[in-house]
Amino acid sequence: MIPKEQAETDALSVLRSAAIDYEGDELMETVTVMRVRTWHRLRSPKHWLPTLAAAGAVAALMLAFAQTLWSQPQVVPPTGSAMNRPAPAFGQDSEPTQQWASPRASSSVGSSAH
Amino acid sequence: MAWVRTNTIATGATDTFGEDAYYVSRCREGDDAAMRILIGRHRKRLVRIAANSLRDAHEAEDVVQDTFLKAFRELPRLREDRAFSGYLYRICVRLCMDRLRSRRPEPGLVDRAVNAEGSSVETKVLVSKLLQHLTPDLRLTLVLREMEQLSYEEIAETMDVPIGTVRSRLHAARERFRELWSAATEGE
Repeated sequence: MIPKEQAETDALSVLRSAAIDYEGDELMETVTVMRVRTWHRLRSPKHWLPTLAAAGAVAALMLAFAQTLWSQPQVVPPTGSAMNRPAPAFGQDSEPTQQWASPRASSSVGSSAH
Repeated sequence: MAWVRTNTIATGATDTFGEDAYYVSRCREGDDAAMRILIGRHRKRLVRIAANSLRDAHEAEDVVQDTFLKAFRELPRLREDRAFSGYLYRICVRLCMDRLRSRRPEPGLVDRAVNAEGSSVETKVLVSKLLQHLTPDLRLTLVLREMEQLSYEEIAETMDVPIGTVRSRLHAARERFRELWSAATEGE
């Protein structure tokens, strides 16, 4: 309990005694240094310019490589391959579709029906 | 960091302001070590000021981080390197002021049933509650004078106001605090 008159006179001394002695956390100091240093490095070109230049060089190399791949000539089959051989003449091959299309086969089917 | 100290002695910058000026000039050239030294030199004091102003240790840490970020970001604006500490404290006090202004004042008067002769924790809690009832200007002036024991000139520089304003604010703050203290402890 504090008497009124004492409270009147001691208010300021109580205020002084209630000062917080907290002087910060060591870890928070490290965090502060890191935050400031990160910002500082981002700001000054001498820190990020080499990284940017290296990244640019890598990107340019990749682009050049991709362009080389893209502009490769299309593969042309050699002259002796099956694709370049002329189509066989009618009747020389034995494909079943050509047999079904023959008029003799269709007339025989029609006569048997009648 | 040994080379930094050696250079400091070599340049004859042995006083606090001179050393600050030396590190600030190194900092302007992008020296990380100098920046770290400046943070180490001023951080504890700033945290104390912020903690006493805001009555909150965690908020004080946040404010001090913001203070250093702002201080180094706006370093090109600092005309005189020797004035770095004043510049730093001014930023810190402004940030504390902003935080205090954005706080919503608690309604009603403080609890009366506090035994101020009891634990120091109770006293600190009571003082924190009483300080909430002062305006940010009065509160910061009172804290800087009574808790941090800054001179009137230092307070004027830190708060960026004339010395007469400091005197009048301090007078009003003391009166108000006495009234609040009496109201909180009367009838015990």
